[in-house]
Amino acid sequence: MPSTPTPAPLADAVIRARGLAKHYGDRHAVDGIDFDVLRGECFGFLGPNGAGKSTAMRMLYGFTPRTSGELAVLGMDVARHPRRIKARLGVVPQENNLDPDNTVWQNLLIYARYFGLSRAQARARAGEALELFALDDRRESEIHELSGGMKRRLVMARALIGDPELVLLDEPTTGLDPQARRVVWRTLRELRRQGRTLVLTTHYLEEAERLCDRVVLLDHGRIVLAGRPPELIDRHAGELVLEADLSDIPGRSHGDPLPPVTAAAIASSELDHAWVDGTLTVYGAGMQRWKLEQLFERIPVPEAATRTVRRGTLEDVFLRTTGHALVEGAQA
Amino acid sequence: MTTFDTTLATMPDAPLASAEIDPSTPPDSRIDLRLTRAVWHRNRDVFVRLWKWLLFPNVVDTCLSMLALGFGLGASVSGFGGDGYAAWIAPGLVVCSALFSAGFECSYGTYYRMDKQRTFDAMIATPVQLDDVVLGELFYGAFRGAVSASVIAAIFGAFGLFDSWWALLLPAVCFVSAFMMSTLAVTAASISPMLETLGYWVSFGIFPMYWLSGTFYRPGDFGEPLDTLQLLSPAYHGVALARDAAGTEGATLDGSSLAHLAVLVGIAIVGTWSSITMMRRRLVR
Repeated sequence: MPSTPTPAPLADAVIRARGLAKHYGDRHAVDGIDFDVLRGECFGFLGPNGAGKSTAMRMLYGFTPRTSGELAVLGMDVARHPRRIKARLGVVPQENNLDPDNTVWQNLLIYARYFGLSRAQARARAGEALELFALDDRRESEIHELSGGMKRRLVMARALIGDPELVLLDEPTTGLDPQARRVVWRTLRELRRQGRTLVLTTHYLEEAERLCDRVVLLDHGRIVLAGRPPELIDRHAGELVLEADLSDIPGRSHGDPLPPVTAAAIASSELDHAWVDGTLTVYGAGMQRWKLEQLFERIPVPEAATRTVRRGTLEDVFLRTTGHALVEGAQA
Repeated sequence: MTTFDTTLATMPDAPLASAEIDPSTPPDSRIDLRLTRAVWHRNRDVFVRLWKWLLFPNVVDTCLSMLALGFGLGASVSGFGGDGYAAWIAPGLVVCSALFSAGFECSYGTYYRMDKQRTFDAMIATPVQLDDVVLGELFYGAFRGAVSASVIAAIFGAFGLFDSWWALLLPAVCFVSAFMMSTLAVTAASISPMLETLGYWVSFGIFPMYWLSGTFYRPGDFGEPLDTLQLLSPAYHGVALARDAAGTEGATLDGSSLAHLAVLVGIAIVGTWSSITMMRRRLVR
């Protein structure tokens, strides 16, 4: 008799946060958030600047003490066992805080001492890390001789010195050109293949879409949306999106409302839309492609506007979510 | 209005990762001397790499002071024992060179590493905690001060400016004095709003300590209340201890030397506490 297949057990939660908050006086940088990060996944914090991403990240390795809530990393309380936790973490901070007084190779060896590694271990790990990030020919270079992309890769190589289970990356590709960004993405995928858990913050939504299994969107210190990128796109943006840029039409000014005829057509189509900074975006969440194409046809936009129908992205999900947040803010 | 689903942020069914330690394990220690050493080692590596550039100015400056004041001005100064004014100021100049090294390294150097290079941030992302970083900086200041002062002591010794073999203890005296100075300098760095404001530490900290250390005059010649106030000058105790070791004008290591040492250690303890407290206040937020 065939046995009934048992569902695969869920991976364990390497990070568990409940009601996690950081307040600076009246400013609530992180305002009571709940999330779990499972072993082996890539988890993303998205959101605009000042949303609380970096604060949340710094709290994960004990750099910023929490105001309230619970936070367990690798099963331990960050406030109680920061050294034990950090011994198993790799951190890629937002700024490249490489040591300009030392060469590439010394940067890695010195960092290895902070993890209590022996000289032989340090050399082996540093060699592997440089190879993974294609920096082995820059061993003797001074830090100021490296390009922006190389510095970023070296910061990531440095984060691997302690052979971490969990790697925290704060804006890993900010400031990089598209080619350097792709190199970083490739190595991040390699880290996942090695079985490491990744947590990253980004405001590049394409990055989140390509790399993350699960994302949370932060706004004003709160989680406003969470899920798997493809599902979020399907549910909140749709397979196709209509976009019309009215901002450059002569005679219109920045704060003008949507033209009434367009607004009426959208209302009768029952499609959801965002109207932000002179750009109209119409979403077809949950609808089939052919139906959407028909509906979009019936929405008139001024001829001078740039009109495109394209695939839905996380960018749309983001815009739609924060667009609503803005409306709520205006009503309050 | 659409409502957004945030439940997928949590996975309540997933078991919490195993802590691999007993939950009742006491909290991690605030100070780990092995990692303090790793922080010191980082700075020492830079020093070893750049020693020619770092050591030279300090040694030259001090030797020039000896030439101009000890032998130049000293030729017209009377009332300082058999070996003259040069031998009187030699132990003081050695200690003050250690204080200068430590006083600058742990103010400008520390500030630079903390604020401009963000070296501290990089360290704190590893098992190293801020307290280890501060202690590592203090020990480095003491090390640097002792190294440059030892070179100067060797030069002065070669010129026969010390009268006792106990002068071999001068590097140790300089280490303790420089550690004490480092604690004051790191405290200054941790409360300085910007690099430029550290000029106040130089003008109202380092230089007054130098001039009022008793290096160039005989403490006790001021009259009260200045002679009592003199006892409050941290550098004074380092210089007095150094004279006892160097056997200047027949001085010996005795009970009063221990008292000077006790004052230096006392200031160092309070200064270490203030360095750590102020650094935490500045960086942990």
